[in-house]
Amino acid sequence: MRQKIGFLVLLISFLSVFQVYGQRFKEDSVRKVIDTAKEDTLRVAAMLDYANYLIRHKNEVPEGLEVLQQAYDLAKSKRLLKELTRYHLILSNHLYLQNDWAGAIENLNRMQVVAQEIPDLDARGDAIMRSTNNLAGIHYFNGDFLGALEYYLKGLELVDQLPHNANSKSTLYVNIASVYRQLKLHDKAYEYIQRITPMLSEMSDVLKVPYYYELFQSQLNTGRGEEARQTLEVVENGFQTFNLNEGQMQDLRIQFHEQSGLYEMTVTQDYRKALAQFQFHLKSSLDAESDYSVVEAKYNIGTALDSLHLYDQAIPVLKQAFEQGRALDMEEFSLKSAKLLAKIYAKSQREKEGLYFAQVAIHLSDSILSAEKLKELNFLEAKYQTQKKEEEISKLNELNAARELEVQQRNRMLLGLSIGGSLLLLVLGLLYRNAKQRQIIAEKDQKLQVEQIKFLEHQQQVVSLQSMVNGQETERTRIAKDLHDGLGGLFSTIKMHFSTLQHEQPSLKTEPLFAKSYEMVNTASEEVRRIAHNMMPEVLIKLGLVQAIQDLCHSISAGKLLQVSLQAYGMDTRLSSSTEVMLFRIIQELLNNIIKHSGATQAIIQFNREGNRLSVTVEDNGKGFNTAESDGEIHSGLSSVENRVNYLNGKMSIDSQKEVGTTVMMDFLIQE
Amino acid sequence: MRSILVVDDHPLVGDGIAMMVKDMEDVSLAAVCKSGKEALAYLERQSPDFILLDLNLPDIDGLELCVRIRKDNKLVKIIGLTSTNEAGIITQLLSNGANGYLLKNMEREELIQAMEEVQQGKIFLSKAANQKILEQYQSVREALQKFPMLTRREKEILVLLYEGHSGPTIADKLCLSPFTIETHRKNLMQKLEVNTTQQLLKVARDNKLV
Repeated sequence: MRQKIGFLVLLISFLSVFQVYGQRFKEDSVRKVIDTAKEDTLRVAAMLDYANYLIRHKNEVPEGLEVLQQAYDLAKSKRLLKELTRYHLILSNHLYLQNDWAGAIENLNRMQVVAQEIPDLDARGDAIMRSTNNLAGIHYFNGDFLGALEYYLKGLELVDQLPHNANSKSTLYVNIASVYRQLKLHDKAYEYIQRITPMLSEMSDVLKVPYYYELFQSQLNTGRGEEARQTLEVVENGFQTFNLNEGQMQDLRIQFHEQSGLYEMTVTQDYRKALAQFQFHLKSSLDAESDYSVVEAKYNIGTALDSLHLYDQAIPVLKQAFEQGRALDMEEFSLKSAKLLAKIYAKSQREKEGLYFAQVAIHLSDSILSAEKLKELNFLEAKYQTQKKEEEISKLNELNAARELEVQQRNRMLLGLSIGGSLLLLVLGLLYRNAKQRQIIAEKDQKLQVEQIKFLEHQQQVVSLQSMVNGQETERTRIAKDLHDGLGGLFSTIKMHFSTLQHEQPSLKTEPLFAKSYEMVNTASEEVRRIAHNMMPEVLIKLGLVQAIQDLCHSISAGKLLQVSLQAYGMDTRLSSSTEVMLFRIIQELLNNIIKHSGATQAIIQFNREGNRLSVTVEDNGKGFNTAESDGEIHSGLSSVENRVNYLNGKMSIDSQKEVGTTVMMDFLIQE
Repeated sequence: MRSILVVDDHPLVGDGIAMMVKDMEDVSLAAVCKSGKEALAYLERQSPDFILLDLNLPDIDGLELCVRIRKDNKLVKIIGLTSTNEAGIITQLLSNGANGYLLKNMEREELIQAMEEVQQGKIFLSKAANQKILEQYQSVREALQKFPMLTRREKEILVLLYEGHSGPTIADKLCLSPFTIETHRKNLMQKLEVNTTQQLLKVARDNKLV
């Protein structure tokens, strides 16, 4: 169900951008507007449309982002506030599709800030409403339905203050109904969707697609079978009457057949009719080339065939749904298909296949759970970091504003003094010079502040990348700790008991089964220790990077193939724990590369820290490689190192000489 | 009769130790504390002979707790209990005032032996600890104090500097960016504890590096 929902919410979020140019985008004419427009407003608007078209429809992302940046620069220099808000909206929608939540949230927050200054009240409210709606959408997609609801209700409050606009209002109602459906509060969902009824005639037809979807679902979920049937009739008539483009019409058709099928399955329980509808569902999905809908349709066909006891036909179609679902990462549908397959195989006495799919289902539901947890964690982190940075930026902005005021006041004072003063010319002259100097200092300070804001803004982008990696490391730390404390403790206790038992009953020593079990428990407990250590060495968390690398060097040197030595200068204070973990992984990976590919016998790791500067050198005496045409494996190892160095905002240089060795040097600026 | 205090938040570990100790002749389990704070409170009232101290507690880190216990209790014998076998942790534990350490999956005999040895004033190390790693660890620590080891790149750059080349020409010669050369030079100055290139070259010459 996830994909479908994502699709619906998106559709609503993007309405604003689609409507500007109607339903067919004419690339040539827009480019002409960009080249010839006399008005900046027109040109920026066209650039924004063009950028959005390139990014979203032609999938030419780098080109689109470039146009978008140009639009931003122009809008910024001419202070075109409305266009600036659209810039943030388009960028945040793009980041949203990249799963970069922090970036998307950041842009929407900035959009709100810019919107506050738009003088035209309607436009201001509209921009704030859109950003609120999309913020809600991000929370919704990440499964934070309560957070989403909060934003939607806030958006509703805003819309009520604006002049009546049926489309904005119903957008929010549809979205709120959708949240309530997710929260399984079906009566509430029904209530909100009903509020749209009086506005139906004013509403745009595009919005009717998601509206009828939610209307039907809420009717079905609250047991209003007859009403649901009527809704389906309206939708069917809509094929002739609604003003939609080809793609939107296809969406409507897919939706209609799917819902008709669901209606037959649950209300009339006429499975033959349901099957027929689901087959139309499949056909229209294939026509629309919508891979996701194809998988859903196949699964639905499987359920209908199952209800008709046509197991032999159900199995192949469900297998297709399962396989294609997996290929498309639609875990929920692969899971549902696997579960149904297991059930059907069991019913037709094919236990072996049944068992296989039951196991697959368990495995899938595990991986869905952990993937969701990770996603949740990353989203939380992104939310937290964005908030923190926003606070810092707003604090600086306030300071900046205060300083500006100060400069203004001083200017005014200077003016007054220079007109009024003739007697105390000398004294005033002195005063003037003094004040002037201070003014220069204040202006310099202000410049510094602006730079700092810019820097922080850049940091914010880095942070959103970091949060992804950090999420992973946090999870590793947690698992390692759980292994140590939970499983490790348990094994240790078992061993203690065995040891006590052996002491109390010495005859057990000669019992081979006892000796064997004793030993196996020992091995198991060593194994837990080893796994936990590999996940996250305790020494890294407790004592820090240098000690952890020291330990790593020794365990490698103990193997006699490679001697690794460590030198650390200026590393007496610890770095932040996430930086330490990241640097540890970087060095681990570089040492791995050395061991696997270089044939080196000696390596040196060196830390040099002076103030904020940290440089890390890893050098070996191996056979070296050509940095330009390195082979695949070395390359993938290095690119993961490079990514991490980038996350830390660092610079890396690799210098490798054939048969002499390789020196990797990384430089970082450490913030405290 | 000597008494033992166990500090460990894992209930089963406390039970396991209680089982092991119950028929030992001259030791008895006095108490099990489940957190650092509980242990510190207990130690204000009682003075056990041994403390078996888990390094992962919910409130205070075990390494830190070891220091705090040692500060006010000079006589008690502290034996760290770890589930990891990491040299860095072990050496830190010992320098924080512990008398020994045991891995949690110890045997009964090992526990008895540990208590005997620390009682006699010796340091006890779990037999599972790789002694060699510990020794090596110590030797490298000492090596750190000696004259720094230079990397190959650093040696090359030092020689070129000595021959009178400037940063940018060295960068050209070695096909590196001037920025990289600059970092190497800064690293060298930090390692050899000098502030100017002149001093750097002097130290290099005195130590026959060039």
